[in-house]
Amino acid sequence: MIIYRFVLIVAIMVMATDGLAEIRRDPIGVNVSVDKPMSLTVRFADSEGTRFTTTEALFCYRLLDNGQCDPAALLGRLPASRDLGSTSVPVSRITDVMTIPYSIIRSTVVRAQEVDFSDFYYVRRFTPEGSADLGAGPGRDVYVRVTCHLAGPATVPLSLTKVSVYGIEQGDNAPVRLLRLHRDNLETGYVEARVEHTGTGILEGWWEVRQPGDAEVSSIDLLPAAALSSSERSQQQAFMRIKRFRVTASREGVAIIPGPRYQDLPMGTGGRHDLLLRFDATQGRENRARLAVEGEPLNLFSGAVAGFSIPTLEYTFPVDLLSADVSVPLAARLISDIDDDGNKLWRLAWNAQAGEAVAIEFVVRTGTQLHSLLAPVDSGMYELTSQWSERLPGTEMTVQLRGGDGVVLGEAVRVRTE
Amino acid sequence: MSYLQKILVAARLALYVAVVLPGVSTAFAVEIFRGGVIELPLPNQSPGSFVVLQDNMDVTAFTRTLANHVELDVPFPDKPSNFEIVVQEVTSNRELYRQQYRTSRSESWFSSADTYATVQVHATASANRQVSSDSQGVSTQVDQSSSSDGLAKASASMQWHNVLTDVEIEGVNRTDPFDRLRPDGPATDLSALRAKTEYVSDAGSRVSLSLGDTQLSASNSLVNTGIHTKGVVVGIESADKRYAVQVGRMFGTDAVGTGINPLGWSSRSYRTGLDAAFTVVDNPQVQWSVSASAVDLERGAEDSFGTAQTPDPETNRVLGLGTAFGLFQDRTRLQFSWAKSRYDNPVDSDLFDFDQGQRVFAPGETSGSAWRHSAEFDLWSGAVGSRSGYASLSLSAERASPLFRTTQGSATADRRQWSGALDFSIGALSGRVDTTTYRNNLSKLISIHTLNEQSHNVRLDFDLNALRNQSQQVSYSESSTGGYDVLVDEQPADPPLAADFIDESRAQRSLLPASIAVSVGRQSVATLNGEDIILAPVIDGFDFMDQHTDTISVSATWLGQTSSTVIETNYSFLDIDQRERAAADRRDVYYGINHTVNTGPWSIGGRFGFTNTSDLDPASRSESRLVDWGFDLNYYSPSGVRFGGTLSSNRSRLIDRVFQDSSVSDTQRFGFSVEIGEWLQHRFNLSYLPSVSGNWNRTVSDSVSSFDDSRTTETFATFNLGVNF
Repeated sequence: MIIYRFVLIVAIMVMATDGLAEIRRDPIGVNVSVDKPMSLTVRFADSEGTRFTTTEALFCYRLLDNGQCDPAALLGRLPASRDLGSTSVPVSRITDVMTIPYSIIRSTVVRAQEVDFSDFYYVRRFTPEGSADLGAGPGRDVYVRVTCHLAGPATVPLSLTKVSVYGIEQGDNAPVRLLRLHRDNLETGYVEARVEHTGTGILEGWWEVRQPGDAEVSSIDLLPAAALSSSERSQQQAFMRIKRFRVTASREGVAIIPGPRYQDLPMGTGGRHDLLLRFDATQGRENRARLAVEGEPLNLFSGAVAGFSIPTLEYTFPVDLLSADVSVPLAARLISDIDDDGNKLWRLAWNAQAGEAVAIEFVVRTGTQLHSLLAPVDSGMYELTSQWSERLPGTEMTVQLRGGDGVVLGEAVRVRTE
Repeated sequence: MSYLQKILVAARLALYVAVVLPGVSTAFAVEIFRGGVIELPLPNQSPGSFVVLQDNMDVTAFTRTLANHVELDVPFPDKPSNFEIVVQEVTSNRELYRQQYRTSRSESWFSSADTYATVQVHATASANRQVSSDSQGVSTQVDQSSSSDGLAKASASMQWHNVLTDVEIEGVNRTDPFDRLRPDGPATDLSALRAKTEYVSDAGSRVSLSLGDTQLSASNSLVNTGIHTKGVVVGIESADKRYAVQVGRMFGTDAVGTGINPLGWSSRSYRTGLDAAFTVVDNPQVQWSVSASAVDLERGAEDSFGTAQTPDPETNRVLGLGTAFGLFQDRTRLQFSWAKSRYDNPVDSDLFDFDQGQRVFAPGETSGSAWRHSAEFDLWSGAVGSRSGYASLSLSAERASPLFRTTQGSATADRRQWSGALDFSIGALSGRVDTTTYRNNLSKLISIHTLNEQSHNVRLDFDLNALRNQSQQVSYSESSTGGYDVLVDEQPADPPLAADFIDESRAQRSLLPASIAVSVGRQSVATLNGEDIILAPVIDGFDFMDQHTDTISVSATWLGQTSSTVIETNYSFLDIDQRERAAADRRDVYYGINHTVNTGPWSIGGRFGFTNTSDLDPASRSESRLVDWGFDLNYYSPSGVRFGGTLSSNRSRLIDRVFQDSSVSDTQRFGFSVEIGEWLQHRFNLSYLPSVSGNWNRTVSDSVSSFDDSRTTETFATFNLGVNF
């Protein structure tokens, strides 16, 4: 078994170097989705530690003998705005993120309908420092490729293709892009993120808040850990952690990450606060680094990578927000009784409320039917008509406070029966 | 005829229908003034003998029974609206009275106005000292910065005859850009501009015009799941709500900032949309509606505000048709949708334009179609003991061709899928059983994996709290599948007095969790075209698939008045059956516990998670162990002082069973912060909130690998002291 393992390692190393250059890469090939863009962490390192620069990364479906893209077979290039690997400062290794736009995927799918062979290549060009030799001769550029193969969604690495962070407030459920906390939305508003992704796995990480006075958010802080090298991950700043998330990314390709409620956001100091969504690297065999690089641990994982910075969500609030009154618990309850004729009667009771609430709404669900009732909030009790007897107790029963113009106040509270 | 022309023709038709048809209705709405009382002509009625419904909501509690009539205090008299009042006799359900009403017709054309303005100035001094063990050594940096926010907000409501107008404007000026991802972005923002004017006919038909931040709804999810951004939307709705049409021209991306036209009007980045729905038959036994939706989009390779994605310039035109039925008092619901799309990626210098003038393979515009059909059946609803129950069955089928693509719709290309689900709730037990069959590569291309996937899941939730006679408080917690799960907080039926606090029966029962959730699933994936696939000559990791994944999840939740505890375990086993890798199975186990306590000003949270992943392949047998734990502590004093502390540790160990090798990565983080902002607060005519905050973070990463005999240690410590004036 050891011999088999040794042969396998040697084979991988041979494949990794490919005879064209001494620059190794990991991985050497990957499945890509047919209907989405995707990103993949690719590590390039020179086996001898020779330093190089690299500023060109192309996609094509045919290669020339020296490994570079055939100019007549170009599909596109790594978007300049998503290029995290290029460097004009000589280094001996880079952590690159290959981001494939959908336009290139679409071109390949169309091409697959015309020809049998639809694989395409991601080719990086490496220029040695001075007259150093990267494997193609002193001072000569080398081209290193990653092969991309169209595949179904279950076999594609986990990567983030679109991330949207927003608040949800009562009303029309429209996403709120700039949060202004105030008394009307403090108790009902909450934050969430909608993540479109390729592949499957677990999305894990933290919601964090940068407060005034904290260090500025750097570009490294906005990238998911999987897009960074080991040392860069250590340099990521930790801001105030608000909430941990752990969400399953299914084949459907869309995950909703629940964020903090507005009332859970720190409001100790005035000024602009930023809510950050920080993704840990997802583990798993297919996400594990297979290229031993000096200074980098072997147990480095790179699932849930993105080729872009994760957007932040800004929130502000008036300085006197927290001096708002605290309401008395509603403690709503449904009380049953039997009248003289043996009929069952129901009364709804709750703790009378002071403040801006004028009405209490009682909602009963029976199967798919919803029934609702409105009563003055200051009365504290209401005797329901006999029409309600056939609906009670429902599958779900809640009460909700409403203000003078019908606006929802506070959270819905489930009703208990006595 | 282009899609845009078709949209315009449809809009003209809808406008014609909207103008002509409202006159058909002869219903007459009675006008009531703000704060008004409705006098219901119900002589000789006794309290409790009748019920008053306002748009199907029981508002009897707002009535007063007098000798010759009944008075109704309109619950929300300040809310402009049209509504219907129906009075029924309780015993017979006989209708005693029915009338349309309209509020907000004030004697003045100017209904209300509200303005608000505030300026907040912040000056921050920040001392940042970083200590690192690498070659860069120790660095100290002192920053000073100041920022200001100015916020002005105005809103007004007006009414002139039958035209209602609401305007809301919010502007913000600041010293730093709105979008961290765009440092050169605007610092002055019309962050909200909402203007809507609406004509409501006497019969109740509506024609509305919305400007600024608005939204375009959708009847066909294949075409449009909803657009919310700056733009112009015209809406028409008949008095009986049987038809509704919306036409909108919106900005191409979600927009914030003055760099964008506040009305969202742009010839380079736009979304033009149409949505029309018409109810053909509407009675209790049968409801039948038809709908048409269209979207015409063009935009460059740019991010939306608050959204990051892989960029592509796009043009997309989609047309969709749909019809829906509600049968047997809406207990059976059927929906059929179809859509056709055209999509292209225009040339963009960021992606395609090469300095060398090289050629690029570009396929031009491609088209595709999709359909989605669904059926839902309410099988049963009734009572089990003292609790209601229900059972419903849903079936759906969907197909999207390989090159079907929409920018606003929800269908995924190159997919055929069937699914069925049974949802039920019986007493304290609720659950879901679902099955899905999926297949891709519909054009059967030989160079693409064709996968056949089947997924079966059972989820059961036991609401043990419901078995007790205790009150339930809705709270929200994250679910593992996204969204919010509603949890039920346990409170004693009667809050105990101090002397009654020791209650052995209650203490015993509290050992039982409030809820238990169990989920079991199996997913099978197989490559249908297997070895026929043509691959690149040298390639790695392209597995032909024939595998099953079994998953089991169990979680239990304890909820008290001041604390909550969640214990969770997940197990998955990947069973690979394909010839070359039949032994390459994998097992993944997760155990987690979360406990939080909120008592008075203190909030304490602790968590522990252990993940074990075993790669059982004899050729690469390895094991990964991840231990992650942490504590968070927060204190809010009544005087406004806040203290927060956090301690976390993450230890990852990878064991290679073949080479008897292991590598370890340790990360510890410790930090605390103090804020005394509100404590310093002084109140004058203007709000003033100076603050002092301190923040100290220390991160230690230690990585050891015996594979290459290396050890990497990195230490970062950051101290910030911020002062706001």
